[in-house]
Amino acid sequence: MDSKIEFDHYTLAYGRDTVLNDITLSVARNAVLAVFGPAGSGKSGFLRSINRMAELEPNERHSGDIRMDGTSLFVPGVDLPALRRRAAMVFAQPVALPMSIYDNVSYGLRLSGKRERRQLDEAVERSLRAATLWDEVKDRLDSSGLNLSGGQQQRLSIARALALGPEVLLLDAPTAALDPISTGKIEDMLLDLKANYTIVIVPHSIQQAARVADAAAFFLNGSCVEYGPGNQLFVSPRDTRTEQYVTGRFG
Amino acid sequence: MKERGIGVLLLATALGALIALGLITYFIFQAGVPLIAKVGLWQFLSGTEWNPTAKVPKFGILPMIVGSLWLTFGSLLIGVPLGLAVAVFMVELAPPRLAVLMRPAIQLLAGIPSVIYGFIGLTLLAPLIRATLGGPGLSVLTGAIILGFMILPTIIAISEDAMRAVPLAIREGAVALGSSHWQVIIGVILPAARSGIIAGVILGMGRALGETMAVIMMIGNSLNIPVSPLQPATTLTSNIGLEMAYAGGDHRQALFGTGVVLFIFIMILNALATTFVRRPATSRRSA
Amino acid sequence: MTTARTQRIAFGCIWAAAVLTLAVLALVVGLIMIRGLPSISWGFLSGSPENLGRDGGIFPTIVGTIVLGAVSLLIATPLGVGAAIYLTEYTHESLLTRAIRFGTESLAGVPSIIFGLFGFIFFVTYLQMGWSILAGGLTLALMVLPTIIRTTEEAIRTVPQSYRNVSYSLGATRWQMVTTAVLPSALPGIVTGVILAFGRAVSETAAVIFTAGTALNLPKSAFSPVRTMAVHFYILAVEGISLEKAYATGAVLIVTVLLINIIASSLITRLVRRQVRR
Repeated sequence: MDSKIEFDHYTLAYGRDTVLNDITLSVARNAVLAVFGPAGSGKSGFLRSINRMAELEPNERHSGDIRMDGTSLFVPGVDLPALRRRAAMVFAQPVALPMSIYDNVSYGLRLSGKRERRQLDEAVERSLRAATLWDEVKDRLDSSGLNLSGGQQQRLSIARALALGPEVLLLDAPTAALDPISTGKIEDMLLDLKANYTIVIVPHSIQQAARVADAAAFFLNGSCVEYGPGNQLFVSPRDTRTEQYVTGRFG
Repeated sequence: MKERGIGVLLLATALGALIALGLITYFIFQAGVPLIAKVGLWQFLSGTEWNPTAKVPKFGILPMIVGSLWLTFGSLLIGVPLGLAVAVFMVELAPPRLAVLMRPAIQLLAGIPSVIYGFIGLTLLAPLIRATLGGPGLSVLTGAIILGFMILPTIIAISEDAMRAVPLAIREGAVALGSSHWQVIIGVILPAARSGIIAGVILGMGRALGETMAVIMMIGNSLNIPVSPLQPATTLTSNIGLEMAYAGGDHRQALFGTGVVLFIFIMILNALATTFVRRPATSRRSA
Repeated sequence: MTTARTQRIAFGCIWAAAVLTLAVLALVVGLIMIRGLPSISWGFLSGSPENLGRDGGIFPTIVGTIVLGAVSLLIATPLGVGAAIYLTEYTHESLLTRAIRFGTESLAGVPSIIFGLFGFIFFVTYLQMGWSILAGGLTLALMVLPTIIRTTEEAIRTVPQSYRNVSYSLGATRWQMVTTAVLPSALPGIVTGVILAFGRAVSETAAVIFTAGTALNLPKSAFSPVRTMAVHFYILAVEGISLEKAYATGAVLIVTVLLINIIASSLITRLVRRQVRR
């Protein structure tokens, strides 16, 4: 299978806390990988390593390697803003920046120096459509993003990430703060998006993981306990700890 | 590369305050210490006679040190109980509508120029004290009362913050044990906010010690050591403020020497205050 | 004595203290206004003083106040905001930041007469600026610097961490993150700090009188000496030149300080609202 991202004996620590311990796995191109496990198992650290946001933590240290399209993320002189535009991230809490909807969606493009109005207009519409928000906001693009509901703000966050034209989407429990209807909309959207993107998601429930994932990885205390195709991992896990977690006996 | 440059530039601005403090210390000491050395430190501090323009000039600042102490502690006598009471009022007792009014009122109290306070002392309080208690009116008492109100905002603001920072759980624990509201305030809130309150008092003390123009206007500026609050006096600051305008030579150096003494007093107070203010742990930057 | 009785007496005292404080504030403001306002006219505000201020107006001192305040803020604002950005966004707590904080806090506690002495010996004498707008403005700038650093730091710390995460995740450099995600949200707080710093500059006497001088002429350049309203008021009162003019000048001072306080608080609410709506 053609892999987009490869973790190679990657270990991550913040100060004395080991966050990830010797992770080796790969993420297939144009597929959805669900990374799940109990709180503190290293899921977010895994996600944040892919766009090197983990380095913003104080006393961050790492060893091993991560490669995207075969190139290490850690070669000297890597353009971090460019990396973060290639692997765009969406957080658990919906965040509308205190600016208009239009400015929110075009924010990343403007950061990268794109100023041409027509280009921005086009990107804003395309991303809002892909995030299934266009019809709800097309008449009020100039109003503040803060006036949107939580579910809308999260789709705005996704549109903001899509506007960058990324190759990878990193979704850190994107539906954790949302109601079931908004969650459903976002899950449907993900299934559409995977045709064009490689997606790594921290799902907010096992059910969600089972619904959207092609592959899944179960994390515990910073280690990857089990990794395989979604239908296998959720239906017949090999490791007893995975099985216990999936069937709800702990966690 | 541009990012690195910005970081260096910002660091430079951040060092501004530290550099300013260094320059101030250096230049005040450089201008004041030679004369202190010439007169002798002990002679300078304990000399009771200040006569810088005499044929054989005398540079003793004891009258000013005593005057400053009188005035500072006098103003604390007024400012501390009043300030604490107002802080308790704002945190615990004020009806919401009045509470909303108190904050800007205290801010305005802090914003009124000190010369205005001095003027009120000069034109309103001094004649009142002369008429009722006797003495010249322009006196330690007049200065201490007005200064007491001038340091109120400092004491109120810092003790208010300290009281608001007392965790709800501590208060609820006391209420659950059947304490009355006053018992909670006096037995729980004030002790829990103690270090903040002390810091506020020390900073208020620093303000009183450092105030100059208002003091000149109220205190009578007599070089005798006051033995009663109804007598006039002079302070470290007021003497500098009065005589700087025309001083030259050794006289000017002696005023800078007075400034050195004042500066050291203030730095000690600042250091004391910082040890009492437990600054809230500055939030970690993880972005 | 019963618990209830103790509480009644204690609360009575506290109420009395609060009322007394408000009464003193009202007395100070009221007295100056009542005695000063009748002497204020257009001629007083726009005219030049005559006979050392016994007659005429206070126009040059109004100009002096505004110019001196503006110069000090032009210097202190970039320094203070820069320092606050450095402390909050560009570094972790370390020995260096503790030293910087110590410097800032100590500077805040330095009495204005010391600033006056320093400004005189350093700017006026050593750097040969003479009694001037520049020397006074620089002295005042150092004096208000801690206010601006502190209010800016507080304003920056209220900006949600999530704004920073989002900004970084979309490819912002640190400086882009600061300018596009942090500063716009912190702006109301920063502006308030700057306005309050202006208020301090307006009220100051001791630091100004020995650095900017007491000249009653309109300034011609940055090296001209000026007299501020507060200094003028002090001289009128202490030298017994004119009580009437002192009250009038005091009233203008009080109105200015009131305006500054009102603008500061209303600006916060307006900016906050606009920020939400935009």
